[in-house]
Amino acid sequence: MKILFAAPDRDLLECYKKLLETDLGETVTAFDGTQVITLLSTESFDIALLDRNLPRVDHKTIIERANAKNVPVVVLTDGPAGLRNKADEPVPDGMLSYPFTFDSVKDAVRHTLESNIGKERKEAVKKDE
Amino acid sequence: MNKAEKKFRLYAILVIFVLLTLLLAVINGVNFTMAASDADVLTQKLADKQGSFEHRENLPDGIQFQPDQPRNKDFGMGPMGPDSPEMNESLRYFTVAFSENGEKAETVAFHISAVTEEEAKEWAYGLMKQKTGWTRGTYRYRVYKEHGTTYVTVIDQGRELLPSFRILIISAIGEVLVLVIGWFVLLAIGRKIYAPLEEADRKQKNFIANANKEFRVPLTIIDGNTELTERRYGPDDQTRSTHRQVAKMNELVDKLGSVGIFDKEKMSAAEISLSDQLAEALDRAAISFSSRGIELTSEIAPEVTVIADPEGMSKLTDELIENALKFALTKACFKLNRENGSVIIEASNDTDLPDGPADQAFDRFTTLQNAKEGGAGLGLSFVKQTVKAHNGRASASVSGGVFTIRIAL
Repeated sequence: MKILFAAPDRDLLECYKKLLETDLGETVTAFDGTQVITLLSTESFDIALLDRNLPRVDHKTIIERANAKNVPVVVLTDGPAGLRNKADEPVPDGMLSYPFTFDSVKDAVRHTLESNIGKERKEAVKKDE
Repeated sequence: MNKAEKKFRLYAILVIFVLLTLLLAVINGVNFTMAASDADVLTQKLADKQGSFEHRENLPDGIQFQPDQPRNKDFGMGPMGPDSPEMNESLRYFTVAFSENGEKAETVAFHISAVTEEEAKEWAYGLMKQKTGWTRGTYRYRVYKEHGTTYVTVIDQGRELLPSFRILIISAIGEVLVLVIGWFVLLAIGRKIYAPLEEADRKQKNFIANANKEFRVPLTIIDGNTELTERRYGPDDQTRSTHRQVAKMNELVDKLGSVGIFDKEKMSAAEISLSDQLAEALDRAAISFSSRGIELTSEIAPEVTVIADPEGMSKLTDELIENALKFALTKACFKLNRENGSVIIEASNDTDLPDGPADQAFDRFTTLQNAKEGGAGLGLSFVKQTVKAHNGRASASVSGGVFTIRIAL
């Protein structure tokens, strides 16, 4: 599994890169929205964990790019209030509010991937019909 | 203009009204009391002269007419009011003397135009059993006895009371004018007065919200790094303790967040079954209560619903339960019912606090009771904020060793 983890805090990136690589697979980190856009266009990912407040590129654009590449997205938000998606934003595949534990990240990744596989299957069945 | 500013303006005008009314009531009260006192001095003077300032020959046996003292030469600076030497000449009054059985009435003095002598006798007869006081609005009377004869003296104080009535009317008009002007002044400068208070409140909320945001990522990193340490060297007491402390901090941070976010503008509204919500929340918490040796009881009326913010109400019930879990000594009770069209939620627990109101429990960062385990004093603050946002009322009190929070929605 290849994961894109983006957040504007280098300590968080370093810590979670190690944790994610230990338990889930190869992890690429990004510090701002520009890096995320570049990575999404040059590499393929199974899932992206993206902070909602990445600098330089707005959150909506980043999610749209990830959706275009069929990369499921889990959004990391400031608090419970951030879990309410804004009306004009594309709906992400999952949301997680800071502060979170590594177990909750693993659960979110697993749940998002499972529901995404289910979604792909449904779409494939529809196409076949 | 927001609600708090309107409230501030109303309180300000109410304070002006109360203070002004009090001041004018005292001034007018003293004024009228002094007028009555002056009138009593005059009726007493007449009583001392058997009801008349005029010299009389046919006085009852044993009574001698007391002539006036020589007048003050320096009359320009002489005494005023009832002591003025001019009073004897200008006073409008009459005195009626009644025989012992009250059948025979004689007019001792009659210097008044408002009534005839016959009417004066009838009027005086009606006052015979009184002592002193006001009659027919502006007339002051005194009833006194000498040698078996009852004298009723009535003096007209209309002219003397006129300035007092004028002051009363001017005071009332003045007060209304001051209130109207005060209201417009408050409208004009109220914003300036209230703005710093609003700014302070906004800064406090922003500080809490910002502090809350700033805590969230570091806590995630601390927990993540502890997880990494455990993977490298295995878990030990220190790493487990760090996880526990981080979990507590996470909880506190979530509460801090809710203090800032519960604004009316951000509320949503849906019909919620409070009966179901509270029952389910209590079911979930039953094990926690029993593990802490707390006897949990509830009286939940069925099908109690409210139109409210679902997230806010859910947190409200959770906070009430958590509060009871933290502070109950041995017992906790939750009640839900309807009273006079309002939904009433009551959460109570036994306590060692003294009897009395305990509304300070709703203040931020305030804990009144001794918590069994950490209490940041934010839970009930959130409860109050949520209730207020739903136009409800929340109160707390202690009675007979029971701490009760009562919410009306």
